[in-house]
Parts: sequence; structure tokens; C-alpha cells
Amino acid sequence: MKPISIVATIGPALSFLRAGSILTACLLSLLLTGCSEPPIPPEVDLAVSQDQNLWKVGVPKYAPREYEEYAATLRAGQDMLTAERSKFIWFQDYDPVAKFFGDVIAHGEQVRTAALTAKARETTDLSLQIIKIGDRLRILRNLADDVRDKKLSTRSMARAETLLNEAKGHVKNGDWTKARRAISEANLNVDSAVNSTRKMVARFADGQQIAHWRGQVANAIQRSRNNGGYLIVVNKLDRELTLYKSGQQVKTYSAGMGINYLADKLYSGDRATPEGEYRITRKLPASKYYKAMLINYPNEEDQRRFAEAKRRGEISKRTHIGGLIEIHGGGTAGLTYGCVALDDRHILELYNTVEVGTPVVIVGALSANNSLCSTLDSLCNAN
Amino acid sequence: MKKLLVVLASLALVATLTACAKAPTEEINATKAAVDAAVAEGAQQYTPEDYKMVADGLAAANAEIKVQEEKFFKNFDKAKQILAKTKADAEALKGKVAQRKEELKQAAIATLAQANTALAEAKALLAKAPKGKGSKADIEAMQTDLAGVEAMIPEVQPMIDGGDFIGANEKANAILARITAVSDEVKAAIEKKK
Repeated sequence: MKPISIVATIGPALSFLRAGSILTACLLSLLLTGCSEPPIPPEVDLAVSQDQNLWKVGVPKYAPREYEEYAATLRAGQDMLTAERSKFIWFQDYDPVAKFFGDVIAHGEQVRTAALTAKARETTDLSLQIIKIGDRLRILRNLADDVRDKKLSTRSMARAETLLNEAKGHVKNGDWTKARRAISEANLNVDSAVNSTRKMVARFADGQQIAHWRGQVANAIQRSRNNGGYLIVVNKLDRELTLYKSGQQVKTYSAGMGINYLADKLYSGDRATPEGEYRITRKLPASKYYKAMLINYPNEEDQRRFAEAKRRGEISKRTHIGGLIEIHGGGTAGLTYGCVALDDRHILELYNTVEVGTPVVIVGALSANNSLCSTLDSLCNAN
Repeated sequence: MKKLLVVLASLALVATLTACAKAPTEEINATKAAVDAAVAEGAQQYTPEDYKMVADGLAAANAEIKVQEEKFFKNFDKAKQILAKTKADAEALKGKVAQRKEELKQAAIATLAQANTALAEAKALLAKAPKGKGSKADIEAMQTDLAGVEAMIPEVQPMIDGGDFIGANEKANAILARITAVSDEVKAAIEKKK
């Protein structure tokens, strides 16, 4: 057998090609031209660029369900394109692809609108919630300022204010989950502040309690009318001291109260102004607060309440009931440790008018339509 | 014999034309690893737009490979080009994310430090505020406010430690704003007393 040289091997092949059938030549030519594909429809690039824009404006975040549907359609389109591109050039038909991607683009526009609407709606909703909680906080703060009872300023209010600031930042960043969490926590803190406020001021909205105070004052006025003597009535909520003579109102003065004046005084150091029926026991011409008139706190009722609170363990056994509650000068602007403070010229007037033994009735409020009542209503209704 | 040689030659020609067309598996794996590393670094959270670009790059490369795999004459050059670019982008993105995170972390740490300083200053201001019967209650209210905000400061560090730098920043800024507000109230109260 003769050895087969390369020339001997390729030679016949080349001659086969040269002399090959027209069909083979055509096939080879078409195979080679198969590398150059027809152009991809412009809708494809438009859709891809639209997807990137949708992502850029945060569509997956603001309309996740709608975006997922859109993305699935886009993926289906890309699979369709891949399948079409994979076909032999003769069989490629991009018209359905172009139409499909045209539909994808239209879908994308709908998703963009949905996302922007959802974004605006959610931002508005969260902002409104922040405003609403902020309003409740402002009512609480104003209440604390109006009644000048600083016990109404609580840690939970400070926390709520900080959380609202934080929530605003999250809304700005479009992080709704964190914004909602901060708002919810702020709301809980405001609720807690409202509840503690409600406990403190509930007496001022209690019809029976108001009736009791009104009864105390009415009886004292009747006694003043009967005996023709002076009577001092202190209305804590209105921060007023009214002087009566023979049951007739003589003059009303603005008055300052204890730091914790919404509470009824129970023990020494609670900085509350006592409530009840007292009398002037001593006049002090040279007081630290200009002039002062001491009242007989604690009276029998105060002592009974104090003993009861101790028995129940509501206050420590070492706690004292306190005393030295006065009507004094020094001005009404400040807060006292439980005394009733008048402006100096008013205490001088009163000091020169009334004598030791003059009855003093101190009540929380005389009207059920008081500011605390309406504030409490607005706080509860605002929730 | 001659016919056999012709067939062999034709097969050799076809094999020559398709020989280089192997799917770029290594490149795919390397690019996917680079994208995964960027994701692990937090690309989706911190640089979502950039993440989208590399994710789309990887998807485009996969689509191109799929097309070529169906072809008689495979050519993975374009897929390789896309993969190489995507890999480089993903690697750069990982660095970018790390840098962004570090910036946010440092910002949160700085704001937290500012909040602590502001708190100390506000406390010092309150301590020297004139305490009379008239102002004692106001001072106590401000102290209560400060105590309420102070209690929130320890919540920031765990957020930083946990990698929630954006959240930590927002909280630290909110705390700082509240302390500053209380501080301003204290200053106003002191000024009023003068």
C-alpha cells in the first residue's frame, strides 16, 4: 500500500469542493453568512433602558408586586428574543419580538405610574401620620405649659419627638418600613404620655368630683352670707383666688400654684397644692415671699387620707404629711412647692383685709367645661 | 477510499470552524462570583442602581451564551466581552459599596459623638441654670426631656455594629436635633433670667 501524503489527502477534498455540487457551495455560503444577524428590534434596547430607569426611580421599592409582574414579562420577552436569535437566520422573525417588547414598554409605563402614585400616596400618608402625632404632642406640651404642671412633661414625650424626627428622615429616604416603625413607636410613646396625663387630669373631667367641689364652695359662700364674714376660694385649674364678703364676690386675683398642682396634696415634698376646707391660722408680716398667711394644712381630712395612703403602702412609712402651706406674695409667674402665690400688691391687699380664722376653700375646678376636659377630649379624639 | 477521504476532510473542516466555540464557563463563574461578592457587600441596599447594571450585565451575558449554544457555528466572543466588563464593574462596585458604607458609618459615628457632646453641654447648661421657685419646674422638665433623649443614645451603637448605617445616621441625627432643641430652650430660659 502506498503511503498517503497530505497533498494526496487534501487534493481530492479540494477537488471535491471545486467540483462539488451547487447545493454544497450554497450551503457553505449560507452557513458563513449566518454569523451576521439581522438587527435586533429597537424596542428591545428601549425596554432594557426603561427597566433601568424604573429601577433608578425606585419602582421595585414603591410598587414591588407590579414591578415583579413587569420584570417577569420582560424576562419572557428576553427569552423570546434569545429563542429567536438562536434560530437559523432563515427562520428568524423579529416582528413578534418587537411587538412583545412594545407591549413590555407600555406595561412599564403603567408600572411607573403605579409606583409614582403609590410613592406619593405613601409619602402623604406617612407625613400625615407624623403631623397627627406631632399635633397630639403639641397639645400635650401646650397642656403642660398652660397648666404649668411640669409632671406632664415626660420622657416618653421627648422620645416620641425624637422618633418623629427620625421618621421624617426615613420618609425622605423613601424607607417606608423604617418610617412606619418609628411612627408606630412614637405613637406608642404619645399614647403612654396621654394615658399618664389622663390619670392626672381625670378628676377635672369627673362630673361627681366637680359637683363635690362646687358643693364645698356653695356651702362656704352660704356660711359667709350667713355670718357676714370673709371667705377665700382658690380655684386651682383657673389659677385664681377669689375673695368673698357676706357671700358676695369682692375681688378675684391671679394665683400661682405648686409645681405638681393638678394633684391633691398628700405628703411632704409632693409639691402639690392641697384641696379642701381650711382657715387662716397665722399671718406673717415679713415672709420670704413678702407677706404670707399660713393655713391649717393638714386638716383632719388630709390626715385621714395620708394615714390611708400609708396603710395601703402607696407612700413610704417614713414619709411625712408636711405643712407650712401658705398664701403668700412673690408673684404668680413662678411655681411654688404647694403654696398659693399672689403678686405682692395683691397679697398686701388681701393681708390687710382678712384676719386669722378666715375660711379658705381650695378646689380643683368649678366647671366641667374646663380646659383640661376639652384638651383631654381632643387628645383622645385625635388618636 | 477517495470518498472516505472526502468525508473526513469535510468533517475536519467543520470541526475546525466550531472548535473554539466552547461556552466560557470559567468567565461565567468568575463574573457571577464577582456579582455575588458585590451583593454580599450590600450593593442592593447601598448602590441599587449600580447593582442593577451589573445584574443586567450578567443576564445579558447568559442570554448571549444561550443564543450561541443553539448556533451551529458558535461564537462566544461577545459573551466573553460582556462577562469581562460585568466582572470588572462588579469588582469596582464591591469597592464602591464598601466605600459608601464606610462613609455612612463614619457619618453615624461622628453624629453620635456630636450628640454625646451636645448632651454633655446641655447638662452643663442645665446645671448652671438659676434654680428658683419659678424656674425649678422648667429645669426639671428640660431634665426630663434630656433624660428621655439620652435613653435613646445607646440604641445607635448596636445599629452601627449591625451594619445599619443609614438607620444609625437617621437616629443619631434625630437625637442630636432634639438635644439641640432642649439646649436652645435652656439657653433661652437662662437669657430670660438675666
